[in-house]
Amino acid sequence: MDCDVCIIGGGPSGLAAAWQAGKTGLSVIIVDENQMLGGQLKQQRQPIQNLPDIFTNQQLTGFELAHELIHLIEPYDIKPLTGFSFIGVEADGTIGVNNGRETRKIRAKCIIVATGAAEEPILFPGWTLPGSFSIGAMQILINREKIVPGRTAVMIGSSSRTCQVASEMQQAGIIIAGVIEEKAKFDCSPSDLQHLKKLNIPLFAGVSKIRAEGEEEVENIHFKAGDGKEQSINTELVCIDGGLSPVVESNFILGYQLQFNSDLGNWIPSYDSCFHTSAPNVFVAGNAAGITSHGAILITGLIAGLSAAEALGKYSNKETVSKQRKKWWNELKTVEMAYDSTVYQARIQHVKQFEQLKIKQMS
Amino acid sequence: MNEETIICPCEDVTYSDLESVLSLGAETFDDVKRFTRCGMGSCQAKACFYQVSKLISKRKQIPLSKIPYTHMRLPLRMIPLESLLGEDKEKPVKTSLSEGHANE
Repeated sequence: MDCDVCIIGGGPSGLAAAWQAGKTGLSVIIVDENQMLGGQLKQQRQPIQNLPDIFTNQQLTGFELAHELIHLIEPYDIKPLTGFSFIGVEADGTIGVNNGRETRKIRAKCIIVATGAAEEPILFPGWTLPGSFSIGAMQILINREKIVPGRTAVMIGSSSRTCQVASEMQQAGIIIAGVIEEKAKFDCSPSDLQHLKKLNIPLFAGVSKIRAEGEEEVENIHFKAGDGKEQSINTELVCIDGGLSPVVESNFILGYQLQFNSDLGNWIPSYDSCFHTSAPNVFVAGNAAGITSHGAILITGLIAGLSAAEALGKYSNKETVSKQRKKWWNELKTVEMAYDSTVYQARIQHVKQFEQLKIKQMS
Repeated sequence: MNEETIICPCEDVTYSDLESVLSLGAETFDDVKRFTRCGMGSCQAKACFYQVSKLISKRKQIPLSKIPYTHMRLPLRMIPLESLLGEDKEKPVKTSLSEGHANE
């Protein structure tokens, strides 16, 4: 198969990038290893905050946003290839994708890496017992698969993501028997914390020595509370939130450099203000470019898609493209500063560092 | 964390396995990977890379940023070998296990 742009990952950033590239008339193939497009949005029920201007005045939940994006790409030459994983490239750059039964080849002029993020576990004795889930897996079970895997649960971690999933679990009828956090303070917002307290959910910060125990599955969780006291909670489920890490497994194969940045998720591709990596015609977008909020994920996709179209000569007027890119960077700033100013500052530094390196290399 | 705590669920690698290879001189994630298969399972290091790297960092006093990202080669997923075959699937390869060996 031949195309102008091959996008690896059909989540929000991949779809946004596909839309921007596709509307200029470019042929796009989106490769996604899941059976349906939408990435993590498919199981997300919360209203998405701070959507970019292109979605003005719309209140959309995660899965509604997924539908919206899938709808947006319909009129264009954008072909989804679902159920296929990117597995490697041939010496001439031809992309290989595989679905477990066959391998297909794609020749593309540009590649956009929109592979998103993977969840981190928290290691403690018993963390792999049946009954132990990541919060993402729990969200998939209760929202997409409509399965309630247990009657009681203890959440480990306290991000806003955890609070959101705990709330959804409760709505599904699961009793949240506690929220425990290793850090000295809870990560979530004061309002999220208030909400948990109102629901009389036992909260413990500054915990250590966590261990889950049970005969063949989770039956209880023990830990040392912040005051030094040993605590135990009977529970059928343990939900772990260890945070997210960017998926950059294609770096060696596609030839893009990684740069360590602890505020963006550690190893991420180096990229410039066009989200162009160090590998020719390879762009990056979304959580793979740094862990951030939904709105920011979408905007990075828009910028990458626009820049790929520009690289393929789809814009005769350089001014128009620069203006649009600048406008989106300003939106990105607004959205990301509202989410976490550290992330935005780190991103600016990351881009600056790479752009300065490129200037140095050219001279 | 205790000795039996699993650090790589795909390949059943424990903390005690990690300690053993660290005392043999392993300093990077890939060193650990080569000794234990950590990171070679179905999730392809997504669950264990940072967990193990953080443990190495703590144990060996190496900054996390100095532990290189794991070297990922083709194929990026565990796939059946048959799925890599091209159109000539119907042509079997003659081997010494085939019927009608030359010396019969």
